[in-house]
Amino acid sequence: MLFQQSILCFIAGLACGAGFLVISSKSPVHSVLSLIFSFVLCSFVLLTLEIDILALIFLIVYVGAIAILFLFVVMILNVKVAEARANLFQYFPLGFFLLSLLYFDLGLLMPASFSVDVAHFIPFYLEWPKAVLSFGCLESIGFLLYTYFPFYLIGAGLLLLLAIVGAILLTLHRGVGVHRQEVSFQNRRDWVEVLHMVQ
Amino acid sequence: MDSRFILPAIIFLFFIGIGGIILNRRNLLLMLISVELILLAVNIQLSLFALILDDLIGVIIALLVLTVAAAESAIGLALLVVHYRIRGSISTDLLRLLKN
Repeated sequence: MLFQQSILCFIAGLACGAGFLVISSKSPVHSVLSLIFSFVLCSFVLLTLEIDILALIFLIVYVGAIAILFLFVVMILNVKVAEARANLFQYFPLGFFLLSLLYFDLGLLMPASFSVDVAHFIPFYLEWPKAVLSFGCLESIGFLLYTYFPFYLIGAGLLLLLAIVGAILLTLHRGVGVHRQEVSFQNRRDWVEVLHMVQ
Repeated sequence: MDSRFILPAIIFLFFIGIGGIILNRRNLLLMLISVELILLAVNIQLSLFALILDDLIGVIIALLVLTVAAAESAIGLALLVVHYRIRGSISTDLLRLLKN
């Protein structure tokens, strides 16, 4: 138990270090690579805590989709490093003040709301049929998602559709000097006016 | 397994994300990356609380937050590319396209 906890602490500390590298590295490429490292470490945390399907989904979506998207944009844009880091510490006092305020606020809030002892409410006997016939992580999540929250699932699908359509509409670049075929105009053309008898 | 001891580290990751937004205010790309870091920390927190409280709804909400993170990064990066095409820079000091 103590071995597991120490491994978890080590992985979470590494994730925090990778997050610090994200915000403090000079080049955006290094920042995105540290972001991938942080994603993988957080997925390791979930995998150690036996939420395995969520860990795999995080690994696929975050590393496979979002981080690759960031890498593509970094390589497309070719950002100059020096201009972005002109004066870094201009906003530092205000930011430090706001962060410390939020941190102490959270520290005031945290023990009061977290003192619920959940294990007190759970009956301590073991129901053997339920333990034998119980679902795994994937089955229980799928059962809950498809049975009790289908509208959230449809809403998430609509959100992803909106993201696809919005991204395509934003980045669709219509060239100026390119001849295109207007489909409706082409269908409205009468062949009588087009054909000419050459004497 | 008791996993409450890992909560402060994830909260620290959340604050690292907010600090990244505040410190890298010039660079829009790093601000988007910091938003991703914040959403990652929130997702891990939701999963951990779902594990601690033995409630599966936290996992469902984590999946929804994951969807929102994917959509946000896609649209944010599309806006970033369009802004870079118009202005030739991604500095937030030049975000004055609506002003005149």
